[in-house]
Amino acid sequence: LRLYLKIVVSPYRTEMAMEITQFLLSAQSPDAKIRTEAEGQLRQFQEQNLPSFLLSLSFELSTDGKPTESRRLAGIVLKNSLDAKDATRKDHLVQQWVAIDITFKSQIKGLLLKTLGSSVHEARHTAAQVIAKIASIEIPRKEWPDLIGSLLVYMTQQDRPASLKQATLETLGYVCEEISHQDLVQDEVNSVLTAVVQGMNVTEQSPEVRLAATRALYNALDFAQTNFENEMERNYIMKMVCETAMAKEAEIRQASFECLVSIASTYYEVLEPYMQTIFELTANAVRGDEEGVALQAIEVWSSICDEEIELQDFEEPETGDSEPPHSHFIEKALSSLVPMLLETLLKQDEDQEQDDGVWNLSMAGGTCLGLVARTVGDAIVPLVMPFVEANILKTDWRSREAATYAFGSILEGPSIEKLSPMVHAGLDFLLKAMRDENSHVKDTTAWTLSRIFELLHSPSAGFSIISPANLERVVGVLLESIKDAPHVAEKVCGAIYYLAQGYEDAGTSSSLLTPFLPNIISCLIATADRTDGSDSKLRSSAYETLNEVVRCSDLAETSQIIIQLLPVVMNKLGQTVELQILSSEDREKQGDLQASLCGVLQVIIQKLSSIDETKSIILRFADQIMVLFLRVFACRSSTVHEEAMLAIGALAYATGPEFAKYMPEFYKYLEMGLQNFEEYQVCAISVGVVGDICRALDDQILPYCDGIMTLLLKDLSSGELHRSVKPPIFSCFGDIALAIGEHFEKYVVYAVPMMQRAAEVCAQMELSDEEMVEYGNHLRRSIFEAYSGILQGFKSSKAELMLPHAQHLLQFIELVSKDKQRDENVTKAAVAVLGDLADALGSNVKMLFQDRSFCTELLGECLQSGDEQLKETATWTQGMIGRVFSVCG
Amino acid sequence: MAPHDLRRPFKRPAVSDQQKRRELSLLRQNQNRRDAQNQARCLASTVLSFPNQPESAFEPEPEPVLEDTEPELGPRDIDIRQSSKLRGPEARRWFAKQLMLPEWMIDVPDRLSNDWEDVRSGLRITEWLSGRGAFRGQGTHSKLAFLVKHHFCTVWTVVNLRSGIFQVNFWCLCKKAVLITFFSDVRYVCARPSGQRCFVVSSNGITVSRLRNGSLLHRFPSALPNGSRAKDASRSAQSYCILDCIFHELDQTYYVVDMVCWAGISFYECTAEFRFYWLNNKLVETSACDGPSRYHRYRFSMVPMYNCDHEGMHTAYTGPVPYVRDGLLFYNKKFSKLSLGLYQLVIQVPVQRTAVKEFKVAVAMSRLALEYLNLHAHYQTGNTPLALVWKDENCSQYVIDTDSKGQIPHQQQVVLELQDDGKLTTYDDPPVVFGFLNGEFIQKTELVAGNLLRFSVSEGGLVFADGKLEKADLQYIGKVNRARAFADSYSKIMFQHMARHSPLRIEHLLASICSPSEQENVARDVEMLD
Repeated sequence: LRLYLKIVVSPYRTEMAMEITQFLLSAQSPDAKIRTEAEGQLRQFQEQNLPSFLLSLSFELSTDGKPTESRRLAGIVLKNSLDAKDATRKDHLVQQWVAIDITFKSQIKGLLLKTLGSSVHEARHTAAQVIAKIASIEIPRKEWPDLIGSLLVYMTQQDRPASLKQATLETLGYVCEEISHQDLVQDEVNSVLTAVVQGMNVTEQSPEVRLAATRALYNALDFAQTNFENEMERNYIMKMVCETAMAKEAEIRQASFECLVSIASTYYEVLEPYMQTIFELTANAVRGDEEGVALQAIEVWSSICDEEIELQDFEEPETGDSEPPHSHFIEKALSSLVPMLLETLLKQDEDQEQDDGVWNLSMAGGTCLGLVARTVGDAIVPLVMPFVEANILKTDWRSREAATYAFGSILEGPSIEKLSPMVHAGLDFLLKAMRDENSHVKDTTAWTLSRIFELLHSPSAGFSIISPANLERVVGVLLESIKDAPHVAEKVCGAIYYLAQGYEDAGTSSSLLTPFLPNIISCLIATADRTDGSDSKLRSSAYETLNEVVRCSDLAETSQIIIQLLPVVMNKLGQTVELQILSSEDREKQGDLQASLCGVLQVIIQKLSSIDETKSIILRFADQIMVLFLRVFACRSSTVHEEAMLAIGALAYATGPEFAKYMPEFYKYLEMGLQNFEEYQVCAISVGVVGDICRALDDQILPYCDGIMTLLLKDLSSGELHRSVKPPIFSCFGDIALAIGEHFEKYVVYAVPMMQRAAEVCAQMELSDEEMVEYGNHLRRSIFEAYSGILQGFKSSKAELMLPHAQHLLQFIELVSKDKQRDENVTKAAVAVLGDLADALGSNVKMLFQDRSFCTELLGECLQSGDEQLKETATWTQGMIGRVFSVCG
Repeated sequence: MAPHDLRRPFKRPAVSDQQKRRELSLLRQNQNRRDAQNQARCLASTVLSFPNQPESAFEPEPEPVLEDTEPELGPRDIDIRQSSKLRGPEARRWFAKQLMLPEWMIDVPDRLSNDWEDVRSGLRITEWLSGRGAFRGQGTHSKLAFLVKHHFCTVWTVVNLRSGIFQVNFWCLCKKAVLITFFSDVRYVCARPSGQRCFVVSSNGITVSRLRNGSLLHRFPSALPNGSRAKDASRSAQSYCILDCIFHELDQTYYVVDMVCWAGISFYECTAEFRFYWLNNKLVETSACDGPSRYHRYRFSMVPMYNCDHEGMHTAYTGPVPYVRDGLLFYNKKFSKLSLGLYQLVIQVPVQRTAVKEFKVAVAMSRLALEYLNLHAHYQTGNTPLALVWKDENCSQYVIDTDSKGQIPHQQQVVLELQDDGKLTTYDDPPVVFGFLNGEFIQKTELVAGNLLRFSVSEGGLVFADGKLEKADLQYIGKVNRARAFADSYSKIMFQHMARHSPLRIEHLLASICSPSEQENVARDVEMLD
């Protein structure tokens, strides 16, 4: 009845749009006062009458003659009223839109469609985006049935200007990107694609329309799934794409190659018939076309490599019928493809090392060559080596750089057996090339060395290009070259990084590097202190490399060296606090430097506290270190320093109960970290630190628990906080409960219902993609860990408190035990909590266990596992369940 | 239109490990959490290799102390706590029921060192006491068929490992007496101390040791929980311990060979692995291993346990021990008494997809069987194949039984129990019949059912056919000493018989611990199975 009334009423009501141009302009004023005031007024309008506000915005956007600035902002605000990155917020916005009176909505939509005919390009473009946002809400709900019809009318009417067609195609593209083809009937899908593909036709007079159509097709490629399954339709679409790839206008050609890139990955399995054409088109583009087009042409091949690498990586030994075929396109094209890519390597920019944003033909070509090597393995070597040999000694630096780059690019993919003799033969040459007169050559040489150490230096796996005989020379060259230009030095850091990494856990080989470490460490610190770099990249690379050197060293041999490093790093961190801060830029620089140094401290703390002999060193320095961290925290007012927080966790672990004395000072920063929703990583790390502190302090943490639990519970209920932080919070409940034992009693009424709700969420979770499966596993494990901590914490005195929750927990374990997607960690946590339940509640849960055959199955599965830890836990759990049945005979 | 994402800079990977540091921290935190929880569970990584671990590796945690709660006592609890007060026949009966008596090893268990992995890949049925079983075939098929036919049920579950390969788990419920095991042979071995086998019970501030027949050996204060009045005065009456020990006269030490109860917690249903692990930690913790003192009259000591491989067996057989050796004792690591009777066999076989349906039916069956198990699994006391004892003249002074004067009788003597119907049976469940006394003889000698009678094995000896005892030529000697609580077990009689005629030698045992090449053979056997 209400709906009926509205429809009847609507023709007689004309909703009035408000005049808001001035507010929109003022909101962009350079004068902060005017700006803030205007923003406030707009917000007030929005809050008081959203429908009228949105209508006014669309009116602003649609009215030619209004200032471009106010129209632009109107469009942005409109878009932001319909869509948001955050899922919860987006949901809210959608509900808001759906609830708006239909009269307003149709007027808004009418105005937007009208805007597509505007003479102002920017207005058309914005309207196209807003229409797509509304379509994404309304089309799945069948609430905008005539949209597609209206847009198609714009396309077919002869007398309409090209600009309208262009805007309409753009709109169609965006709409296709937003919705699924299943939201429309197939006829509509077909008409949309027909309109788009027709727009791409050579007969289309206007290049703007042709370009818009090609870009619309790019956005509609997923949408065209059904059409791609039909050979005739597919042939037609591919024909149009290939035709536009040869269009007069470079922009259209580029858009067309972008379509090909997307098609190569989305429709790999149907590419076969078009490969000859694709090869010719791309080869021509790579060799002769403008850079933008050529880059996309190379990208086509990189995409095909991606697909084939993925097919190879996930190849199942027993292939079922559903698996997509591997067409070996790269292998088949290899002999022509590789020479084409090698040519691109010679097209370097003169100053390509200066700017990180540079992406040119030579880089794209080298990247693609690397992917080809990973796709075909050994077969690439004979095709590349002649090029390397022919160019490496030339006087022209481009030839030498290209030869080195080619060599470095193919180090991943071919077998060690194939590569090893070449690299052995070439290593000495590369070391000499670190003294080349040209810095590009040195840059690429250092990068190639880092690739060699990354891929061909693994003493723990039994092979290495480095021998005791050449190590001294390698280190000598690296430490000499680290003084070179900043971009070269950065690559050298990378080489040292992988050189050190190779010696991690390498047994006796680890000792080989030890004599060089003092020198390496002091060179890295000197590098970090350099001031000639344009940004902080070199410094952070030097510190990260230092971390890896420390982390991978053999502690028994290097403890003295690391102990000497500790005060040096502490001193540096102390200096950062004294830095004069005049601008926000200064503040940022300070923060970056502190991040690097806290990182080093964390690595040192973790390294030295890993064995008792050196742990005492950390204990000796603990007070000073903690004071430093607190001073670092004090440098900021509203956020906590993530790296410092991370390091504090390591410190708490090292100090144990001693950490209690830092708590009064540290607690406020911990609170701050736990409340940091925006930088969720900081929040996650703070949660982890709570766990570290619990284990360090045991029940000494009790005075802080009310505060911590309140914040954790708030975090859990927040829709704002990134979901990845939630599982660690549950684990943290377990940590707290284990630390404070019976005192956890007062939190049970809050924590356990949360755990139960989360368990129910797990049960209903749609595990459609890998990421969700992983998240689901993480959540399950952490819920189990929470229960484990509580049960073990209560075991000696308050176990009966958990009795009412035992059944729910058992059901959850049963559910999880029957899920085939659970990972090993979930299984471990499940079998452990099963034992905890039996251990803590004993014969009280006898009845619950009696008819649960899944326990036997789960234990059986675990006892067969190859994982000793899991078997051990299962053995224990079996014992505990056995006891449940024995206590009362 | 959003431009196509450019590739990551291939040549310019910025060295940034912040994410790696986060992950390493998380890893450390997870590890620490696991350690903390495992410590709360008293489950340390030392559990699998404890004989080689220094005892200090484990941090003790406070024992559960039940102070002001007085929960209802089950009948079993009362039994155990009052056992120290039991006297005479009552005590005998009680102890006879509680003791886990090792079977005597009369045939080499198939591959003594068998570990889990072997069995997973090898379908081998082990017959410890095959003399008693009716089958000796080598073919795996026939053995399986035997199981299916003669035991409660055999069911199987199927786990789809990956396309085309299914793991088939066979579950087989066997009567205890049918000593078949598929893979339970993960064993410990130790040198058995020579001395008096006894139970040590600590409760109410005093410790009592009793021999197998229930007679008192010592009454003394000890450092065991509630074992003396000196300390732990507040400990509740529930905190008692029952240890299975051998009292070694020479050094006046109780060597603990097993544990039934610790601080009021029953370990009946726990695996040997777990029991030893617990015991090892707890004994040290309570300082029961310390030398004698005012409140601790006898030292307790653990017997060093070894994994039952070549090295372990060799060490147990010849390695130095602080006590006089009397044979070797084998323990089954993985099985508790509760799980006895349930044997699981796991094999991986390629299964046609069409066969899956049948397996699904089987899965349903397996559930039923497991429920059955849950209802019907009882404590297995008395003779048990979970512990085996073996000896020869190198590791024991008493290979062949002596009489009360310490002399080896000319002929083997056996003690059998007289039944209502005149049958003479062993102490086994079910009993094995060795002979028959006619009513006239019973009346004349005034014997009654339940009497334990001593016989000597005459010239006729023990005659076997097809692995089964066919005839025993027995000569009645007389009733046994009143202290004797039960008859000989079948395996003991068999061991003694063999010790006199064809003893089982250490070489046989060592040979049964198969070499790696043999394991491969076994694996190949299995592949032929499907």
